[in-house]
Amino acid sequence: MRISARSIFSFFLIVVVAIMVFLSFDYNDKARFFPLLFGGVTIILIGLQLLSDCFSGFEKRLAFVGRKSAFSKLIKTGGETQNPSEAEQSSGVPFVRVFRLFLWLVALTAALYFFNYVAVSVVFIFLLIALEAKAGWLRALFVALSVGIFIFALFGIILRVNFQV
Amino acid sequence: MLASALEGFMPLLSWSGLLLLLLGTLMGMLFGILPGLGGPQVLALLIPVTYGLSPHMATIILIGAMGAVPFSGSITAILINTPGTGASAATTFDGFPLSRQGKAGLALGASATASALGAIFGAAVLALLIPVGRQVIMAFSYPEFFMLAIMGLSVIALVSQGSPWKSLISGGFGLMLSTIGSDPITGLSRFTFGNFYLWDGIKPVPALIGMFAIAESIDLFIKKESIAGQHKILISGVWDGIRSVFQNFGVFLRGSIIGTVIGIIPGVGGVVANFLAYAQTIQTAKDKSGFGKGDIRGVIAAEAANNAKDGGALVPTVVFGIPGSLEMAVLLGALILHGLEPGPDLLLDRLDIIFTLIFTLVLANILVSVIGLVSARQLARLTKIPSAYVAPVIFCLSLIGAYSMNNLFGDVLVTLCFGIFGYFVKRLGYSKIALVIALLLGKIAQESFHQTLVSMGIKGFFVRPISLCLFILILVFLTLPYLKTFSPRQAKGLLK
Amino acid sequence: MKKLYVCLIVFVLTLGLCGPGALTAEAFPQKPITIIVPFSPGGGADTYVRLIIPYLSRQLDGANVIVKNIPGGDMITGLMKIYRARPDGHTLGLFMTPGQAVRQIVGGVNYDLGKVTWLGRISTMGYIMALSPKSKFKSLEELQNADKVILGVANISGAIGTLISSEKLKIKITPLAHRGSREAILAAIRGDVDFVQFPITTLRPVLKAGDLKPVLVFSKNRLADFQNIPTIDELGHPTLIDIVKIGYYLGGPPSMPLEITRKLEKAVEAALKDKELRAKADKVKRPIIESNAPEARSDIHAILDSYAPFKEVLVKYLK
Repeated sequence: MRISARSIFSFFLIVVVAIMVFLSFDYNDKARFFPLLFGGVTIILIGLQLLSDCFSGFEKRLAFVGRKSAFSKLIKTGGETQNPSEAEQSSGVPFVRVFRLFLWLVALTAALYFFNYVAVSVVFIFLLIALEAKAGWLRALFVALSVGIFIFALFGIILRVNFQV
Repeated sequence: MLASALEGFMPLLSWSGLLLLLLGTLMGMLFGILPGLGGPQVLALLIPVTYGLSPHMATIILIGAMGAVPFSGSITAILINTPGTGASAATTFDGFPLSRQGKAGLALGASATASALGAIFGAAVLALLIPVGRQVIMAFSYPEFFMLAIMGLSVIALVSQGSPWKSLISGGFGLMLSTIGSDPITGLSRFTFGNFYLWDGIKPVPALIGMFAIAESIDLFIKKESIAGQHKILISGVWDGIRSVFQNFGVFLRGSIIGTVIGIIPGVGGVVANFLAYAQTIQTAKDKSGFGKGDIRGVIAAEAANNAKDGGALVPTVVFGIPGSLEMAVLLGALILHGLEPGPDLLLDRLDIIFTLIFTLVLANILVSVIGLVSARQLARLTKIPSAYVAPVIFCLSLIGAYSMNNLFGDVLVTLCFGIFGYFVKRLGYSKIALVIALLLGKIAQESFHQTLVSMGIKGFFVRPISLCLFILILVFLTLPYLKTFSPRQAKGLLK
Repeated sequence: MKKLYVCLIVFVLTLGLCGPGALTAEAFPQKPITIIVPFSPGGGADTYVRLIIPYLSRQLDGANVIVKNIPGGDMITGLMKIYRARPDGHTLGLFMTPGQAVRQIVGGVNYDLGKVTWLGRISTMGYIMALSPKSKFKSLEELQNADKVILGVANISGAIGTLISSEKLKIKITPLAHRGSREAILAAIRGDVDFVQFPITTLRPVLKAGDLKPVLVFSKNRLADFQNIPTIDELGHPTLIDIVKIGYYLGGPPSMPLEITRKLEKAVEAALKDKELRAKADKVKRPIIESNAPEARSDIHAILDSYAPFKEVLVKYLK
């Protein structure tokens, strides 16, 4: 059984949909109609995808899951920038770096909730450029400050945005 | 009528009128470009500014701002895959791939031209339709809304970037997400867990910002490229872009018609207009191979619809006093504050204001397109900036912009979640487009389905002429590609 | 490590930017006053607030008064923001009855309208029942005799008054929800629903244009521009007048300092009595029917009291 990013994601999707379908049994007839309809069909679709992602035996038998449809026969397959295997190959970037960036984003969001957003933006941009992208302190500072001024002028003065209201 | 038209045009010839037009347009551009901010926000902001102005002048600055938003939202859609407004989302499908190929100038040129011409088309239709606007609006009811939603959803099968199976899954997941919230038909809340923010469900705009702006910026930042990568920026592109609209005039025309019609129908929403126009262009194109990879026709269709819809949205606003869009609602509020009662009375007593409105809409669109064309080269150069600088800025602007829409932190969280989720959607070969379309149209489809059943019964879908036509069209468009793959000989073989 | 220290220092400094301060009534307001409107810009409530803002500002010596729209959550999200705001007088809000009162009765919310610092009422409006010209029912009697009548509503919670009044009038309704009042009105004009019931200001333009037919007014006396339309009072259900009406009130979070509250009460009362404002409001058919703070307070309690007996109905529709 293969445990890869693909299979984990399919698993995540099917769990979410399954939970929603399960919860919808508590609702009345009218309210549960669409969740059951959409959810039922989607679970089958994801289920087959999950099998295909996890087990190479299934992948061969369920070839239609990965195959292009009649539509795609008309869409010539040369040079597609986003076909599945290519998309994954092109992002041969290790997930560790991706998750680190996610943590930055979560920290940014949390900081926006608690602190002044102008200051947070300046600090965040500066740190992200300097530390993660390693693109030079001075440049990072310049970009951070100029964007900070822009954010202050537009959101602070003109729009009077206040996260703490 | 002609007298009113002239009277409506005069204020635009004055210095203060032109100045207000310019000011409004620039404000609209700024708000259009930033993700999360758009027409309703800039209009709400400008209302206090108009307190001391005459109704004509107030109209000029407000409509000036409103008219500048659609194309401005498309500028960032093309350059950084971040639609400034939801209505520019479809422009990213082919506009951004063009930027990645170094052809941002081409895309911007086509976009500016299609936008300006689309706005003129919408305004012309508006002016012509005012007498018959009633009949048009009355012809569309729940079954028609449902069929339009299904038509939009059927796009999912066509616009697959990659495995159609995964597109279907993306669409299905999007449909599930669209069930979250207070079900208007039963009043029951689904999947809200007692949280009042989720009452309104997953709002499309924060989800869009997350999936398109943030997810894309994550990808670019990780890969440490600039948007255009290794491609040279083709400078001649802008003129080619302008020409391409005329070379593909049929595409432009269809997009404009769809945009105007959708704009006229209150209840479907302008964001749907550009998706449908895009889908329709694919469905009717002979050579579909380029769509999603930088086919200029995709840009033209989406842009034409995006701008024509505003002219369309003015029809129910003017004819019934029922705003055709969120921007129109704010505009009406502003007009009330100037002592103008919205509704059929406005049509009879103050036709001159209506004409000022129409002319300003056209001029603002032309003005912003010209500004866009003139600065297209410089704007295109932005795609060469390393993403190390661009991405962090987009992260901040997106999240702050998401908050500024409604002053709700929930929107920021949705944006963040969809940003992260969207990254995986893209990387693992699922379809962002399908998910967004399903999220947008899922609600409309559910509501109008229930509404049809209560009001007319199931026969409602098939008894009404427009609904039936749309239904047949959907079937045709879905089965046509399959029929085409059968050559006559194969068909004969089957019959034997 | 040094960078982390820098970050920490910056964060702590910015924290200082949100410091409060003690205020006297003379010094108030020290910064712009924000009125939170729990609706999108452009709607009825929002328009009223924007109408009175310049006059309120005038009464507060030109203080800056701004509107913040926080729509969603069926009015509750915005309400909670007002309720939980710092009670220093700089954050106020628009309240709308009966929707928010109804939610409180049903339960499951964290606010008590009785604790709000009320400043006054901006306006109140009765409803009108309007028939679709394309409906097969042509009068109120026919509606009452029918087996099934389709009522167009915006959302269920906003239509509670209508649901209660329809039950009292013995109309067997099937409510059909729409995205907003405008869509419901359009549906009635098309003939997809039999009737709608909305505030007079909302329906007036379409009634004047003849797109819908008024059949019943929820007020004590007949309206000036609809002289031949009977009132609910004449039909013998005067109690319904208080159930089927909306009110727009201004208020602030609980426990606002007394002096500042008094100052605001006076300013609001004076602003709402301003002749220029009233003339403007009348001209656009959005009249100011104000009441002062004590009256507003008793209003709210009266509304809570009048809906309390219907708790079961409310729970049935809103839980």
